[in-house]
Amino acid sequence: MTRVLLIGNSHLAAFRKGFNSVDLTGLDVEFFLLAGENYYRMRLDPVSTEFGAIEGVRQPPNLVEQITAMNGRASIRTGAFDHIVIVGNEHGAIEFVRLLAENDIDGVRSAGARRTMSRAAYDAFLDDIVDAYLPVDPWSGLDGVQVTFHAKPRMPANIAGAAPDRIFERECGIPLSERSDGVAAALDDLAGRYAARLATAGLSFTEQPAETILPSGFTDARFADVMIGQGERAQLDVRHMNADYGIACLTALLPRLRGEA
Amino acid sequence: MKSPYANLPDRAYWRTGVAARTPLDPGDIYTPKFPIAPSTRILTAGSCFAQHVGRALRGAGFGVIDTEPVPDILDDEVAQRFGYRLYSARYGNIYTIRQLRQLLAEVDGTFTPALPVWERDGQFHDALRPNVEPDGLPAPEDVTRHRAAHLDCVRAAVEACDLVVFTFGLTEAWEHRATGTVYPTAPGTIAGDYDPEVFAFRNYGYEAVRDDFLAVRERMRAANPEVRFLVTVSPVPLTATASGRHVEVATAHSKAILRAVCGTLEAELDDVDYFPSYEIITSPSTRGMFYDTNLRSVTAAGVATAMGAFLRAHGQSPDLPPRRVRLSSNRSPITAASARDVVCEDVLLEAFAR
Repeated sequence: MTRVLLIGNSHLAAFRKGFNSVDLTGLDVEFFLLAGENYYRMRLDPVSTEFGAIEGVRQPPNLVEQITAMNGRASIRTGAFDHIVIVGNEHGAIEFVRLLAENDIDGVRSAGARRTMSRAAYDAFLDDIVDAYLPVDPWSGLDGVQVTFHAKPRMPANIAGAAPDRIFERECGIPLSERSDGVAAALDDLAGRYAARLATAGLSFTEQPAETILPSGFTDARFADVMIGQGERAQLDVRHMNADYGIACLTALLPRLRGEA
Repeated sequence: MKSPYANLPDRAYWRTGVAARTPLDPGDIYTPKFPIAPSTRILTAGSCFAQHVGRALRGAGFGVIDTEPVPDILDDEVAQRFGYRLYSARYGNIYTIRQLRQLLAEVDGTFTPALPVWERDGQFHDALRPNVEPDGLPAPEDVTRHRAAHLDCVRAAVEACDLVVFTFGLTEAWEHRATGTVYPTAPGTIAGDYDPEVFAFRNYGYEAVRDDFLAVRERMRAANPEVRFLVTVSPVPLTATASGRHVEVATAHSKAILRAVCGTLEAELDDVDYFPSYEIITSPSTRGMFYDTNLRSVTAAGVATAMGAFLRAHGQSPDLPPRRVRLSSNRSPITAASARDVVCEDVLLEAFAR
């Protein structure tokens, strides 16, 4: 039996929703999660391999309570697992998408943006963004544990339905979806560079499976029909994906988790 | 016996105003002519010392315009290598007010620079801002296209601004003989080739500098009749002079003209204020401690002292806050205390010095 730990924030919800629809024979899967900004306050103790609220690490006063309420304990011993998948990992796509939306970039994208950017500047900025989003915790120091970072989902093709208060989506996502030339290749480029950097530390990175991504580079809207709120106040959630997305991701991860990839 | 020098405040006497003060506290050397509100939209430009001014203003939360922004997460050094995050648009250092006047005319379509593309090692540079693409661009057309987009951004900055902060740097410059096009660097320094038949050395005098500023002011007031100006003189000496004089004499000449123009403008025009960063750095009270070992670059302590005096005079804290970073990022907050290099074409000039 391979012991698998899925760590994540709100993006782990899609995995949980699809969990029971995937044949996970041979895998013993646990979840460890926390939503919101405090997710990023959880730390990994390289000695004990405990992940969560770690003694001796400065943390917000309610962190222990929040983690315990969600998981029944304040931390989890990651060294007890064979494979850890960190779901919803930020790899700089937010900054990168803004860069794409606001600039025509030589050799990358020409969509009539007001500003232009050279390929040299783009390359330097892309590498720097990747650098800024490398994991802060010493995941590569876990003996005998495979660690995979699973990217936060790409913006959905139905992003035009974003609520008015979704400023980033309205400022960047919608313009990109309307003129998407070069976006798919650029997002692949970002992911490729991030994966290469993690690989040098013995860590893996993967994005959502290809079948969930349209040629435009956006997530197929059929994986993004999640609504938030009730009744007349219900709004399309353009940041989180549905159970089908979770199924697709878990299915794509299976060979890796079973050591077949 | 009565004397007009009796009973003046301490700041009026050299002994109490300068000799007795500590170098790190310039005291009440600066009294703002007008306040700068956090909502004021500020355009910054000038010689490389202006980068410090802009950084201090941004750090203190003033509304410095940036019409060519890049993501916050980017490291300053990486962004600034390509001319981003230095000024209100990506025009690089503007050492002479003539160059700013020319830039505004180019924005308006009333001026077309001569020889705007310079080549080096098969790559092409914007002659009017040769450092913003350190490796150049593959084709001259790329330079032209990028410049057109840049001029739109300059126009947006001009139209948005309430306050222009300009640091006068030099009086010496190189011009295209036939058209008077002025360049920020000598041809052949970063790119291009120096041909004495095509290019000429100029050393602008008092009237030229003053006239150029007044022309800039008129253009800016056309965009916003309420616009105001804060001028400074860079305390950074010339790296080299082509005037034939000793570089120290040439520096004194250049700074004297710039300082005199600023003094006149500040005295005659209600919408122009002068901030004495030049005096704070060069004061005999500092005994040269605000200059680096090359006796030219201003130290981090010098910048902090000058800009601290500016911010305090405007009711702001000189303790600059760290730039916001995402929690998930591994990027460390950047503190104000860290000394940072400014991007100066001057280092290249220095490389040419024997």
